[in-house]
Amino acid sequence: MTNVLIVEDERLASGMFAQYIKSASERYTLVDAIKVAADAELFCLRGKVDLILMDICTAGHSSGLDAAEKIKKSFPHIKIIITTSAPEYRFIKKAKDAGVESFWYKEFSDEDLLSVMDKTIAGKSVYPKQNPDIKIGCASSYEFTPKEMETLYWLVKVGSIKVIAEKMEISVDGVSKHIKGLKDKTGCANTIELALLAHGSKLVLPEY
Amino acid sequence: MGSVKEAIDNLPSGVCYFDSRDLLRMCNRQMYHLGFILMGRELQSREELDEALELPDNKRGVTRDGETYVFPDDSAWKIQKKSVPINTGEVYSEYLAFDVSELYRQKQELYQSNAEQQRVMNRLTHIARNVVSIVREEEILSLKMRIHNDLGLALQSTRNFFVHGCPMQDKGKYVADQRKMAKILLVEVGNDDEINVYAELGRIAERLGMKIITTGEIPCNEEKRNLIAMVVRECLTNTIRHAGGNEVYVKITTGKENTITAIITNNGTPPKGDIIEGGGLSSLRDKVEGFGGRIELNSLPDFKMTVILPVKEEAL
Repeated sequence: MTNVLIVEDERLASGMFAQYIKSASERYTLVDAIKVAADAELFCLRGKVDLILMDICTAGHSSGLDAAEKIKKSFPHIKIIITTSAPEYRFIKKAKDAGVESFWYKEFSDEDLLSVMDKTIAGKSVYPKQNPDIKIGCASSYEFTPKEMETLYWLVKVGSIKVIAEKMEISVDGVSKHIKGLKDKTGCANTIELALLAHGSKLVLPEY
Repeated sequence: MGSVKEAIDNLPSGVCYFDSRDLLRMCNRQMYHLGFILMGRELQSREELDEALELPDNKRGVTRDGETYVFPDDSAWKIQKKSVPINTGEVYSEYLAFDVSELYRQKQELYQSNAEQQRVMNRLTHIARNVVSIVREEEILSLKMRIHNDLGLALQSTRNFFVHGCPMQDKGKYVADQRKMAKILLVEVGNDDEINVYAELGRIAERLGMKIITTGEIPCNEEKRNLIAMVVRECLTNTIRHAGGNEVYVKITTGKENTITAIITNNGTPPKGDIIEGGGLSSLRDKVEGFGGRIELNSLPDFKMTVILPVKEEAL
C-alpha cells in the first residue's frame, strides 16, 4: 500500500486527485491534502509518506520545487511527482536536478495521473518529452535559442540590460543582440511588451 | 547704427536691455512681440516684465515651466535675465529669449513616454506580485475545462446506456464512473478563500500529534503572517528532528519602535551547546532580514528563537 500526500492549494484540483486515489484504494491511501509545499517535510519527518503529488505554485508563495529538493535530500526513498499547469521553461530541468521522479502537466499531459503514479511507484521516471510550446507574440517558444530564453528570464526578473549582462557574464552588446533576436521573432515593439508576454504566458516565472 | 538696429531686430531670439533706473533702453522686434503677449501691452517697465515672468497671466494663454514659457501658439521660449555692467560702470538688466519649441516638444513626448513606461512597469510589478493568484485562477480554469470534458464523456456514456443499454460485464465500470463524477461535482466549485498559512500549519501540527500554542495577536498582514509561519515551521521541524518535543510555544507582541516580536520555544530537550545554523536556518534568516527584520537565536539554558519584524506595511 502506498501512502500518498497531496500538496495542492486549489480545492478543485485537490479534490480531483483525492478521487483518483480513492478510485485505486487497493493500492493507494491518502495521508492528507495540504496547501503549503513547505509543510510537506513535516509529514515526511513523521514517516507517513511514500509518494507526494507536489504542486509548484502553492499557498504562502511556497515553491513545490524547493520543497521537493529539500525532501529528496533528507528522504531519498520518498517518491515525488510534480503536478503543475505552468509551462515555465525551467521547471522540468529543476525537477530533474532536484531528483524528482516524475512530472505531470495538469493541462498538457495526455497520460492520466493515475497511470503516472503507477509507473512512478514501479520505479519508472515519467517526464514530458519537452516543454509545452507557448506562443509569445507571433513566435513559438520553440524558436528561441537557449541564450535567448535565458535573456528572457533575466529580462523579466531584473529588467536592466546592464544587470542582465552581469548575471549572464556576457557583454551589454551581447544582451542587446539576444533581445533584438527575441523582438524580431515575436514582433514585440519593445522589451516591456516582451517581458509582459513572457511572464503573462507563464513561460518565465522567476518567483519560483 | 541703423544696420546694427536692423540686425538686432531681425534676430530670431528676443533681446532687451533696461538701465539702472529700469528704463527700457533697447528692445528688438521679437522681444516686443513676446512682451506684448505676456503683459497685454507694450513692453516699457522692467518691473512689469519681471512680474509677468514670475507669474504669467493664464488668461493670456501663457504657461510657465521653470525658465520656459509656453505661448498660445504652442511656441516655447526660454527667457533668461542677467545683469550686465557697461563701460560707464552702470549695470544694465539684459533679457534674452530663445526659441526652444522643438526641444520642449520632444521633452514633453519623452515625459509622456516615460509615464507610459512607468504605467507598464507598474502593471508588470502588479502582475509579478499577484502571479500566485493569477496562476491559481488559471489552474482553476484549466481544471474546470478538464472536468467539463470528463462530464461530457460521462453524459455521453449515460445517453448510450439509455439508448443502447449496457452489457452486464460493463455495468460495474459504468456505475463506478458515474459515482466518481458525482463526487467531483459535489466538491464546491468556486474561488477559494485566501489561505491562512499560519492556521494551516497549526492544523498540520495537530494532525501529526504536535501542538503550536500561540499567545498574542497573529499579524493580519499576509506577508508578516507568512514569515512568522515560516519561522514557526522551521522551529517545529527542528523540535521533531533534534529535540524530541511535541509542543512549540509562540508568543507574539507588538514592541517599541513599531515592531512585532515573536518568541518561539519548545518542550523538547535543550540543545547541548551552541546551535550551528544549517541551510534551513540560514535561508530563514535571509528572508527575515530581507523583510527588514532580524533573528536572535539562544541555545542556553533552553532553545529560544526571537524574530523581530518591522510593522511598516510596505517593507518588501
